[in-house]
Amino acid sequence: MIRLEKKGRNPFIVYGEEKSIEEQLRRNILLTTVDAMLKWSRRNSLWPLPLGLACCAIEMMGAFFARYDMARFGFEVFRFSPRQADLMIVAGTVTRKMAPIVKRLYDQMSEPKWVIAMGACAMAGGPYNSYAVVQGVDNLIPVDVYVPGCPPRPESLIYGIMKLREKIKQEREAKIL
Amino acid sequence: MIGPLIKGLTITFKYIFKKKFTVQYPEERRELPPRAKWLHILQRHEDGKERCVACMLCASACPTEAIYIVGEENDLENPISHGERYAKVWDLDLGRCMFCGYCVEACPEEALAMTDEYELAVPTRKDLVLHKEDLLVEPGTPPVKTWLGFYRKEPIGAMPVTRPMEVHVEYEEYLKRRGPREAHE
Repeated sequence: MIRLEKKGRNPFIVYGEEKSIEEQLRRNILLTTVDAMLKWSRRNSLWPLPLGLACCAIEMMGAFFARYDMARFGFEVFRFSPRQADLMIVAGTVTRKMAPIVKRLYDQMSEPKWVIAMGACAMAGGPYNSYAVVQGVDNLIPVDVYVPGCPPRPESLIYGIMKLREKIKQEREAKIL
Repeated sequence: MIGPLIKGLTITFKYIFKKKFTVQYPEERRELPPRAKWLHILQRHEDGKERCVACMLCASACPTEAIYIVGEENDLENPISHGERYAKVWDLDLGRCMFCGYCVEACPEEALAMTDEYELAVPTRKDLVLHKEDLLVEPGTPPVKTWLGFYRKEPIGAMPVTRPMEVHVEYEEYLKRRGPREAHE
């Protein structure tokens, strides 16, 4: 969030410096190039699985069409099959009836996988403080980036995905042990 | 067969020389309409005091109960706002907020305004709750004309607002001058 960054608070710095010797050994110099290559390829070819459940889906589609062409960043194609997708965009109200399907789709996605909760309903239930609506999709699956808005603009979603790329850049996957 | 092919390709080639439709988003932004309703800010007076007087009208106008306020009495010597009270806690839950702008409509002090900042992505649910220190502008920031006053000619703050601090002090002095009264009076 730009307002927080101006005040010297970047919430996206999530991985601090590890100080233990075991961690430093794991981040061996042999693997840094492999790691960089892995992260580079992952963050530049995020294929999203669109989970359009409500009106946020319209803005999600808007982000993918010619005006805000998300293919410029390599988020190339909507994959409607979860087995070919890396990124799940939960756009809209997750009702209790839809919850098991969301969970199953997430389980069917292949690793590594990331999740974006788009819009107030998917983030925390939004205006629907009701028994029929799951109060936040993070009750079901782990969420990496929350994109506020009701619905968010297409730019907001693109900004969220750019922030997810920053987050992937900080990850350190390759390990010797 | 050749005819329709050429006809179709003419349209394709025409689009090569037309102005590009795509907005190159991070470098280039679309201009938002003047009444765009995105992230809230809490404004200040020209002298640096906070405009919010913790009247709770925004919290009660909010349809999703996204605003949480704890008000506190102002210190008379060193007041934080111009009113009797100020907001000690002013939290906004972006996980609930649907940017309807009812809070801005309700605000009698024009303390709340909505900006065109729409890039709001955060990594954790805890960061979704914005506190007063995140939303309060720096002293000396020019006031944002809210979309509510879009058609209004007067500048912000020209509207008569609640009782200013001087009147309050005068009233206190009057009470001191008058002395204690009988209970039944």
